[in-house]
Amino acid sequence: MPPIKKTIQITDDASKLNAVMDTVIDGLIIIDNIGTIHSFNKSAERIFGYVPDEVLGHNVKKLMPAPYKAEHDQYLSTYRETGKRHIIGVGRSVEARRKNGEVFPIELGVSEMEISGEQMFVGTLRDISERKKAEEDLLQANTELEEFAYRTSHDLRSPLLSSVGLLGLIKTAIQEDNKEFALEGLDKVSESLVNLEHLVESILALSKAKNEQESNVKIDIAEIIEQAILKLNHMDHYDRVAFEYNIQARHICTKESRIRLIIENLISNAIKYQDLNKQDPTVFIEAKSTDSQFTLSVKDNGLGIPQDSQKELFKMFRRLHPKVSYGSGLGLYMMKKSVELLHGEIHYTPLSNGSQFTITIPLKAKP
Amino acid sequence: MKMNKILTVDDSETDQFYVKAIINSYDPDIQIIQAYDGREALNILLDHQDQKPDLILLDINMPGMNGHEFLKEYHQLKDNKSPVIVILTSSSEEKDIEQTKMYSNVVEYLTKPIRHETLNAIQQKYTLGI
Repeated sequence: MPPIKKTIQITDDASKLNAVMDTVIDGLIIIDNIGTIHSFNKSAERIFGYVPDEVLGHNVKKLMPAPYKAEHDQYLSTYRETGKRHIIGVGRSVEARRKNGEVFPIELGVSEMEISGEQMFVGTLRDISERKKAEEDLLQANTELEEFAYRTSHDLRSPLLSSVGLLGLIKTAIQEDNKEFALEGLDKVSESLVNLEHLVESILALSKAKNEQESNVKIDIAEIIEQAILKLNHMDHYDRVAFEYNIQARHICTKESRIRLIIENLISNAIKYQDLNKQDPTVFIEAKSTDSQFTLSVKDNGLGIPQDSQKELFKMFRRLHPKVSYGSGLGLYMMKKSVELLHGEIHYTPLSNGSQFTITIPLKAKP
Repeated sequence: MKMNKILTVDDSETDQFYVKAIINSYDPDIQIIQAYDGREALNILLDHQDQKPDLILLDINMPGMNGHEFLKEYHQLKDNKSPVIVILTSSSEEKDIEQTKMYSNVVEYLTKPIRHETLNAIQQKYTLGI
């Protein structure tokens, strides 16, 4: 009688073990010392996309991308012969390969065991694709933040330092009765501080924009363009500019504040960088939409963008024309971020006599 | 020998105004030429090779061609003997300073706002050397 009970018990234990192996969240793979897969749990199936029949009896390097694939046999034989370990242990990040060919990062721990005198290895693994993506995003955000802090402190300090220096000179000028110089100096100080205020305003707008969640609404493109043009009427040399339109889009469904920011920015740049030597500065605005895409282009016959600056065009804090030097340099950067937020693209095309910016934004099917 | 001509390269109109005011307050006869970025400065130097400035005051952070890029291109010109002073916009930009040290004609580093006395001393020092 006892032998029968024992058999039943072993079978129960085996079932329990299988149940455990198939329940654990991590992938679990058992191989022998030449790499043949003996066991492949449910989570491993899910992670790699294979059913057991496709991997059992195959070499584990099937689950690896280059260069591990070519090197693994070597690692195993080195370990067999010399006891020198390559990977055994916990918490190593490597790359693996799914059935569909996708290479992805995993965290892998390998331990050794012996079954009936045979040397076996148990690998537990976790798909860390999402974690890696989050780490990369964080790193990028940090880098952007560092650059932002560096440029901000410089761009904020610069007009302040200039003004301090200049006020010293102005004081001396007054003491020496040099009214003309004092007045000119005060104008310069005033200009500096006004620029400073614009910069601070842009920075506030930038951080606000980054933090706001906004949903899509139906907007009238023609109206928004009109409002943007009106809003900019305080700009220098605004009255010289002629606006031409070809608006074929009417209503689209998108994030209103982002589209406004983009349109205002494009038009304000076209006005700002007009060619004062030309008699007919013109801004040509074109808007089209299909079911799946919205396209906006703003073309001008102005100063264009110097070739030196074209490579830096959308980076933070890039002012493009030394002479037209007001503005925070955040405008194009913020505009690019807004376009990205709408999953769109923005392109700059240099023209022989001006500039063209084109934006394309994908539209979802009507809600 | 007197210093006759100084080229100032800076994108800030205010700073240009300031530097010009200081220099001319000590010496009204010095001619000050102003460029607002590296490209403009290079063009000026190339167009007037027979009337080179005695001194160049160079800002690093400028839109368009910045100070570093200017130095690189200027260095490649055949006749690039004018001493150059690098003006720093803030003392925390050490990596900016390091990058300019490789050019033998970069001789001084100043932090803004530049003081009267400093600029005057610099002028005197390099006038004698010319």
